[in-house]
Amino acid sequence: MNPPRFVPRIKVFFCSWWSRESARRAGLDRFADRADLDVSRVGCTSHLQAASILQAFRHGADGVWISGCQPGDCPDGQAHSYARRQYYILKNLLVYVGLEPQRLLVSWISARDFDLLSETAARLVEGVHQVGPVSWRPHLAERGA
Amino acid sequence: MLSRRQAIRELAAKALAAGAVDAVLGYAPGSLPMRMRPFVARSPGDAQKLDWDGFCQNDLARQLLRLARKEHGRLGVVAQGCISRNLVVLLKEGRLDRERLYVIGVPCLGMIDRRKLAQRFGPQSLLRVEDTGERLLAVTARGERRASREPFVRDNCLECLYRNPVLADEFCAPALPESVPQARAQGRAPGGDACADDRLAAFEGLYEGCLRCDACQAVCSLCEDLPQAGAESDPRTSGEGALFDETGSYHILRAFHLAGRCTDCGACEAACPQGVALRRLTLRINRDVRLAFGHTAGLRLDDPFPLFPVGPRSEGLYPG
Repeated sequence: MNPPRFVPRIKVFFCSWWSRESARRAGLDRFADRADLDVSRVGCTSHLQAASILQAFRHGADGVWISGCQPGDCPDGQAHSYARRQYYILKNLLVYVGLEPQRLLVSWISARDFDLLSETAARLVEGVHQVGPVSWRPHLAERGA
Repeated sequence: MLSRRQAIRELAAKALAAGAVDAVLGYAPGSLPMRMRPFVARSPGDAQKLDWDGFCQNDLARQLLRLARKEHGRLGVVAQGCISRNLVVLLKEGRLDRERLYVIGVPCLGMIDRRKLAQRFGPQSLLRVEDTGERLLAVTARGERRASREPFVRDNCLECLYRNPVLADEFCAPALPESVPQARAQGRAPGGDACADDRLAAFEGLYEGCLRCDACQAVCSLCEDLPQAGAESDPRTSGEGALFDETGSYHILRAFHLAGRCTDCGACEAACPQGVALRRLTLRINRDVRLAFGHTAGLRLDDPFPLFPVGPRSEGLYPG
């Protein structure tokens, strides 16, 4: 009997400047057979709390993708630039405690750059496939979550 | 230590007598051995109870925040290097008012680690330890033992680069030469360059003893605004349980919340009843912030934070 096919669950946080149209025109639907992309929109990726990223992993996400505006496009430029630094530090910390770096992707892409969005999605899905199911999941599975 | 103690008492008494401050927050002997307790002196007479030695292990800035909210006048505080840096961070965040503070600076010889004492002398037999600043006099059930101080100094104090307060109105002792640390913890990964699974296993092992008592958060002045036990955050993202996914999340978030702010005062590790190596994560973050942004927390009032603007922190990736 073949082992079940691994379809990673990837939690995606897009900022509100990204419309559903952007995701559609970037062709994110074509990844449906390789990954379950669960897209949530947040007001601004500089307002997304680190706790939400951790919660996504604790709830079984194999990968998390946060995508915000290209530098210079965000209406709240100062918050945006601080957020970029904060994400850098957060990702370093999570990798330090054992998260594979391929599982967390933070990108800053113009809402009109559908090609780059599509390439980034492909890179993330491939990366998560390489590292396989997330290690934190067994703890949740033990509790029947 | 005797000279520091005397000078702290004199400076506090003078400030109180002159009405320059309404209270001075420092330390005084408590009921437990090897622990000084925070003490508020409100008169020159009270000031004679102030004390100082290697067991002044709290982060007094935490008590100062509480006192500053309850009282309306000027407040004195006794602060060594790391605590003065905590004061700088709190001043930059607008949580303290410099006009209301009178800081008695203490060039610090380092705090003593009670666990190291217990390992050496046996936890049951230590009755009292006196710290002269050069040597320790351990009074045990089997008699008195004298020992050199350095083997018992706390790890973060051994690595300290800022023994002299960076912010003070008066100093109670001459400045100390800033030492070259014997061993600088660079925030090495628990598993070195091991793969992610091994690092995760090492991280789990590190926090295995954590009871989620939240003493580390309760003692830290920079964690005062963190929701207690994740219970007040909405959605609740780090529960109160001691299962690893909750404990691990809690420590990751607490450490991340301290990014660009933690001064490595070590009060968290000293407060932990389980001896958890709490500083491992904050040291790593401090290293990353230092390497990426050239920033060390709490050195100067005019030094901008690298990760957020000066002033009250509102939104962003920080929990709470």
